[in-house]
Amino acid sequence: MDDPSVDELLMGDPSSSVLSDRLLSDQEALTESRSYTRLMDADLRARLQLRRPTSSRTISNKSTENGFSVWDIRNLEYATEVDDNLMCPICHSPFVSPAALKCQHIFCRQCLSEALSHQQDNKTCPTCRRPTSSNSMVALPKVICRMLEELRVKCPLAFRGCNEIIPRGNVQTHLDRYCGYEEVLCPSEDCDQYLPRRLAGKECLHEPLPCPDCGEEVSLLNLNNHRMGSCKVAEIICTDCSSSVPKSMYEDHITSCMETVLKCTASKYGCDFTAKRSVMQEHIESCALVKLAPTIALQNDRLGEHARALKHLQQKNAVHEAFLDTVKDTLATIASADLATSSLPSDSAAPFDSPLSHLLSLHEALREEVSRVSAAVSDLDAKTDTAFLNSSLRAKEEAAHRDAVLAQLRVQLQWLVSSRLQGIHAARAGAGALGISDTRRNSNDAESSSARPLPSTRRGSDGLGNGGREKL
Amino acid sequence: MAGAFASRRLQRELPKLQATTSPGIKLVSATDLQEWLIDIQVMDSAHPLYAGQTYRLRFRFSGKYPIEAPEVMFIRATAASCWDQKPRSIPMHPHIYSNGIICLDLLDKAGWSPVQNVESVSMSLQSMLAGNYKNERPEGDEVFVRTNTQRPRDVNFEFHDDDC
Repeated sequence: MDDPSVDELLMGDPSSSVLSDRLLSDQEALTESRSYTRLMDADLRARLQLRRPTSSRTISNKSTENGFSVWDIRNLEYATEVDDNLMCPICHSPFVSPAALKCQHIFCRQCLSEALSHQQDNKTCPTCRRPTSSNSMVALPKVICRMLEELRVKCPLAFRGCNEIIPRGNVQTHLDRYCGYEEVLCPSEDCDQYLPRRLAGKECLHEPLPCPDCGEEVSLLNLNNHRMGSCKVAEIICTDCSSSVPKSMYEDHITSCMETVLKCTASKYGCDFTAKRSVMQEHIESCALVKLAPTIALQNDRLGEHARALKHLQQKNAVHEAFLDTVKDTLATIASADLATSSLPSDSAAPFDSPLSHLLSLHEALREEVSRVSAAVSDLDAKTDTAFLNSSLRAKEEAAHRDAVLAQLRVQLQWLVSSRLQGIHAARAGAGALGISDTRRNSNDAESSSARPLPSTRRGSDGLGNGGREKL
Repeated sequence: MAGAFASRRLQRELPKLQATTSPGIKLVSATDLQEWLIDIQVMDSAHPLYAGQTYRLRFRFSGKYPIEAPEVMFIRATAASCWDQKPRSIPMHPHIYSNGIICLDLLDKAGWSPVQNVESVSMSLQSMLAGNYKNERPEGDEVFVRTNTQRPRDVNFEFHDDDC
């Protein structure tokens, strides 16, 4: 078992995966065969049979001609659901001889080399687009390959009837040795034809033999098919009277066999009598329901006709009702829009061929008008909204400004009032001590000193004003 | 056996796509393994351009899919032919021509990767629409639409945009 060398040998070959898998399975088969040695020794014929296909399989062309199944590992049907992590992101099937790139992304070797060969010059990993090269493919650890080879698949000959479920790596072995539906060489030394393995006994099944029924020469292999199909004489045993009837007569027989159990012909009208055909005639002659049957059938037909007619009328009625509703609606609209209609383009209504279409057109025109008006209204609405918003914004700003100014004035006023009060107090005190003449001078002092603290109050009010504006 | 690989891969994609749970992606028809139709929607219900709209994508697969990129474009459809009775138009986008041809590096020879699949491409286009707020066509749309006779995959686009 020297896998890496096999891989290297086959790298770049499009059919490499299939070949390498076959090689692998052959190698496995070798080990497996050891355990079967005893079984094989017991059956020499089987061993002989094994040799032949194996030797002819080496030339692939010949094997196709000979009818040996050529299968593709990618076409295998898996018996169980395979973990998504084992799926190649390119072919969306479980990995077949997987290869990894340096970026640790894994693909089937064949998928990967195909994808890389399709890229122009700078090869990149299909998954992560990291730069790479065709040479940097690395085979996966053997243990993973072995796990993949152990995935259970259905036999590729399932379409012929084989129900086997086998590990993926053993498919070729299965076909070469065990599958009963694989074609093998005829055991007879003189015959070079093939037959399914399950039918291969000791004698040749291809030798033409006369059909026991018609005498036509048919091989044993095809005898069953012949008797069921093309043979004109072969007999079929009737299930009712258990007599054997020639195949060509069988169709007639089952319609006339006296033993067949039948239902009364009037069973659908309520007669539940059943009897063999031989007795049935008697019953039919006496059965009242059979006699009534033609009349009942006629009545049924008539009922059906009536039901159909009724359905048709109902449909018609529904259409008329819908039509009436439309007319009512139109009338209502016109009545509600009495004067407005006159302003609408009623002149253009003249060419209409019926009053109804005229009304409908008016209705349509009205509807258009309404939608136009509503569009205009919503337009206007939007416009007024924005205008209002704009003006109110400006007003708000102004109000805030005023607020600031007011606050400033209030501070000034307060200061003035307090200074005035102080002056009055001082004057009073001065009048008490120095006399009235000094009072004027004092008050002058108070007035001149009032110019000093002013800048500080202005600064304060500025700050207030700013604060008010920031809020906006 | 040129198309065997493609058929096998598409057969594996189909059931997954039919059972897809990706929101806004719906397989409309896949009667054969050559042409599939997919409806996509932008899931952003407040999107100024694509909210409430459904667009139809047409995927055409060559025999070399997924090694070769599929041909993907937006197509128009009448309301009567759609499951939701709404017509399909070509979305406005600076990289989508008004004949439905899409300028996306992912769908170009150089930008395609066989790892992509129908669902991932649909999702890429979904997000390409969701990320766009420009209500415009590519430069030279009229001339291109009038003069282009090539199939989308043969057109050589220059991808000068990072967000293309």
